[in-house]
Amino acid sequence: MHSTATTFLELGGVLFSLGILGHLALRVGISPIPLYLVGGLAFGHDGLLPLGASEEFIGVGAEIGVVLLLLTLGLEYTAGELLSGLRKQARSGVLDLVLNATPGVAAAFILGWGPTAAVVLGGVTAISSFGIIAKVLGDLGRLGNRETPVVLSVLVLEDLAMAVYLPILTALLAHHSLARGSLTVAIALGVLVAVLYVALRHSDKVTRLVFNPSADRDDEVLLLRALGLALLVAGLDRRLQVSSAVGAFLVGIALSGPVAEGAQEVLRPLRDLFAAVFFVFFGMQTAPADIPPALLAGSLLALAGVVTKVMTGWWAARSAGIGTMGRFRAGAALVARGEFSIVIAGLAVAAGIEPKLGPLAACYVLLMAIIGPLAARFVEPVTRAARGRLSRP
Amino acid sequence: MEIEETALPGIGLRHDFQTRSGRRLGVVSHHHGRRDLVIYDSDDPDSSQDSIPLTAEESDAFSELLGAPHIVEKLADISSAFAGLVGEQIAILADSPFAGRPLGDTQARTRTGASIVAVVRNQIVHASPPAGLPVRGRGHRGGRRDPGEHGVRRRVAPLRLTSGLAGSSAFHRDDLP
Repeated sequence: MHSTATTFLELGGVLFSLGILGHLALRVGISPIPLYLVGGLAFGHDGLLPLGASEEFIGVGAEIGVVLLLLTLGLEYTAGELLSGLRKQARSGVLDLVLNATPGVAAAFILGWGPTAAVVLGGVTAISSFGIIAKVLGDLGRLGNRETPVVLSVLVLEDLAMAVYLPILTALLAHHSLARGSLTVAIALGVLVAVLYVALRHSDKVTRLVFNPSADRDDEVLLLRALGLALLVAGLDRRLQVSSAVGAFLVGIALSGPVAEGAQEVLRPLRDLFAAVFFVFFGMQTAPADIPPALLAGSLLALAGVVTKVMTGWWAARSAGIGTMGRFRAGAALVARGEFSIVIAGLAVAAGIEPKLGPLAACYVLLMAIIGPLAARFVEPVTRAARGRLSRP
Repeated sequence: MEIEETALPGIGLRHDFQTRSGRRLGVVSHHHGRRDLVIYDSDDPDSSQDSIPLTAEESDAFSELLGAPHIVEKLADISSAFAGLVGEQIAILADSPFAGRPLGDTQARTRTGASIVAVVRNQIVHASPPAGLPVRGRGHRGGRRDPGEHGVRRRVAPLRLTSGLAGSSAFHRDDLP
């Protein structure tokens, strides 16, 4: 039996070293996600500094991290934004998903992993990271650019697609019978439509559940109610064997207006903490020795992932009437993958479908979370140089 | 001058316009109050040459320098531009019964016939405010009478308020002349 002291020492050590890694990432100007994953590799069973006492706590923390990631993602968008994105950019959205899921699906079949793994890997390669991309665009001062709304609406559609994809994936991973599986998926989709409807029409009522603007003006109340509501819905979903992450996402969408902004603000530190714990936990489940064999496939997937995202962005920006440079900027901006690829891979690892899938996904995200911001940063000089060379006789 | 408004899902809103001197200027308004002042590149109109992040406080101060006080005067000008329309600003004090409540709760149109065309908060004008917009104390609200139906303009008296909005009936309607 481990004492509380050991748990504190381990947890403190983990969080403190994550803080150091995050600091390093900031200094170098990359996303901290890959470093957290590497940290997780070190803390796993086969790592340099295996944890004992705190592993259970970290496991639960990781689950909370997923709920918070999806809740804050839902808070980012209003239902109106999701639907108008769907109307305006549906074609780019479909192109995005088809182009970018293809490498993952193909890789799974080439490696002989079967259809469920293909669905997982397709999701891992398809979904860009809103967190990394929004940060990079802000840091590079590109939020005002003409192509930025195009980039953002592609991301909006990916997230809407996630709301459909996650319940399907959960059903597949749970090895449900076809009837049972289609029932859970049907329930999830019905709930999605209902939530979007409620969010569009009666958002103020749902919002009032969480916050009563005239009675309580306290951040604490908002934090507790928003988090409580998300966990309740996530738990309920889990009972119904629908993905708990989707429920949290839908709660995020249903909340709107100033309350959503306030909730986002108060939840952010908590989300950052538990998301970091989640990335570490994912790393912990991967044995460091499995990473080198996955590097080749991971690099090839990463290369394909860069190409397909640049194509997506280029096409979407072109149909919005953006010039050549802007098209490449849009493409490069979309390259980064991160938290949601790990969320998807994490579900598959937890279900234990294919032992090599975790290391491959970890490898892929490691590369893409580093390449993405770099691609966005260097796309302009690279494009300019390439065009200069082309125009010279 | 035409100001374009573009939604940035997950980030906020962007407004931009072309100056008479041929440059393009824009403002990205983040959900959390941050503003980016964007100066577009003269060679690549899609891209911003510079983007200057401003805190809520800085953008308030900056907009004041650029003439936000005039916005208030302009709202008043509406009434002189159209005979029969009366524009009036109504200060919402912190102890008003409507402070902190959604705009819809005032039932201003039902009770007084006046339309609320904008809420001015921290020098920022929220035009066509939705009913769900919370009214905060110490802000201003521009009230304006609609012209009568079928384009017949009626002359109507301005809205007046009872002392300090402290009472339970916040709006007081003058008799029509």
